Amino acid sequence: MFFEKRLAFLWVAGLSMSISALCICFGSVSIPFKTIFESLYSGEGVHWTVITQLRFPRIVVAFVSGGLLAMSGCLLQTLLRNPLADPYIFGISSGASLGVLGSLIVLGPAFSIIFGFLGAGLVIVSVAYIAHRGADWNPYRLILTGVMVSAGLNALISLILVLSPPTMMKGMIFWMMGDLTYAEPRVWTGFLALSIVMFSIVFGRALDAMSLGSERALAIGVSVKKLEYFIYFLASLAAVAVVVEGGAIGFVGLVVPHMIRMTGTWRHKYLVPMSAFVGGTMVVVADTLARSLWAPIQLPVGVMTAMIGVPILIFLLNQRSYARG
Amino acid sequence: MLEVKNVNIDVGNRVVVSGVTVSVEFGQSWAIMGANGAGKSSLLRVFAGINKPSNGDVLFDGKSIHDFPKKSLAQKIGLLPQFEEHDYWGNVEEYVGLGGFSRSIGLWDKSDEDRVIIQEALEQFEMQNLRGRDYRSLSGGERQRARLASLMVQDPRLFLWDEPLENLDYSGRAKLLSWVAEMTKTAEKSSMMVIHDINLANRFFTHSLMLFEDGTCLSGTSEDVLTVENLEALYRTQFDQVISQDGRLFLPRFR
Repeated sequence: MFFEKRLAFLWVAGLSMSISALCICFGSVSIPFKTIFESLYSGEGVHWTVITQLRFPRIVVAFVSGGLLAMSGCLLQTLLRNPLADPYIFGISSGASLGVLGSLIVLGPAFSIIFGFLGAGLVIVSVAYIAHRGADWNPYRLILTGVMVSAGLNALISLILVLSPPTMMKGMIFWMMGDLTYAEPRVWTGFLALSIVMFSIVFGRALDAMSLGSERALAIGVSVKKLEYFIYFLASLAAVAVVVEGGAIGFVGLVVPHMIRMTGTWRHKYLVPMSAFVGGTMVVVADTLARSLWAPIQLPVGVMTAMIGVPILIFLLNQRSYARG
Repeated sequence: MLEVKNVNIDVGNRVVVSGVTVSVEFGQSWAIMGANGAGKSSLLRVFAGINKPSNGDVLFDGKSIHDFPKKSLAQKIGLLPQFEEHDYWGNVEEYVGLGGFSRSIGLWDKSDEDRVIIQEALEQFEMQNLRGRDYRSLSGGERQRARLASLMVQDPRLFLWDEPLENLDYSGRAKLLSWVAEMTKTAEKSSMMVIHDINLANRFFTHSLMLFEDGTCLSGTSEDVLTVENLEALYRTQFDQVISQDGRLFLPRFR
């Protein structure tokens, strides 16, 4: 049993890494395998530049983003005990978008990332604060607060979009649907992803116990409050890290944890790392398709993740294991 | 070992429980009785350290229960709440095993002793055949038995049960009550249970705590506390006392 799970985990990890690596061949121009090996060996030429300067960094960003989103969604579903929770349920993407779009219009592109961080950070702090006011937070208060905050922010975003010059509007909408064109790999996001994996392995059993409800979890000795704060800030930070770079890539955070639970893995020490691998692969594949399907036109990666995720989830929903409960 | 000193619980402006002073020792088994909404569950949550009382202290071995680290408190006091959110994806054995969380250290989640006690708990509550089943696929009574088994795996020194007889059939009730009575007598344990059946309380419990609707309470040995007069005041229903071969029985007089 123990070894079976480990084996399954190694399979998932290996398979997802290879699929992602394979995506180096595809793009606006396909590069055959042989050419890739040749250029890697020689270390020069056009293909070498395309691979090392363009495709490899892009795949790394996509993989880390997908991993972060899937883990964030997974942890939030545990925190809120709600299957509909995803990384953007608290309005983090709306906060970041408002920051980015607002600064694009007023100051130009130079400061947009900083304002994205500011907007998202404000949302994280204020949702936690509002949900805490007068009473302890609980899943219901948190969800409702988050949904309200994001609804309010979305209204402001719509206002900005309507009032912005038509030349900028398409780019803005594109970015909001998720777009990795200008994203760059950063050390700290990779580090963040690794720390979330470690967190879920070390606190795996406490996370499992959270699904018994906070009262029973407390009674068996879980420090529920501390754990909840940890989950909240780690999951939010993961979402922010993705959104400020690549926009609100949808669907990965919602769908991937369910996909893995449906195949029978639910203990967090396996569920979260597996989510990371599967989520990462899903975004890499979606991004590759988005770049190459209609080349040279690029589609928003968020559109592709939904197009991949929806059929897979609907297929799995009809399998028996998830039917009861 | 558990000393409850002058505990008050207010919810909003309503006084739910006032001035509860109880001392629970090893070997005692307490029945907690009261009408609906009398604050039985709130009181258990305070005893377990999950909620803080509006006033008063709860001490375990002379130390305030809020001064214990969470895991060490869970090894001393274990509460089985009345309700539970069912968001649990694992199988029965894993569910029952989670009761032993307080003994897990870092990455090592189960020791050999844990496996032994999980096996014992599954046998005690007749769940051996269900161990591999999805927890979600169980019936209400089976889930209740799995929950009882998980508290047995937690193995605290003071067991707090909130209406554990719900959903259990007669054999399940008898098994639980006689196991609790036996355990508190032989091991260094004690137990407090919210229960609505006066005759079971009279028969299986050494002590009783009555919570009246006006917030006052009455505690002592079951023999002293369980009288027709007190029961009529507690439930605002008339009772007859009948002496049977098993001792006294209380029969409600339904008009």
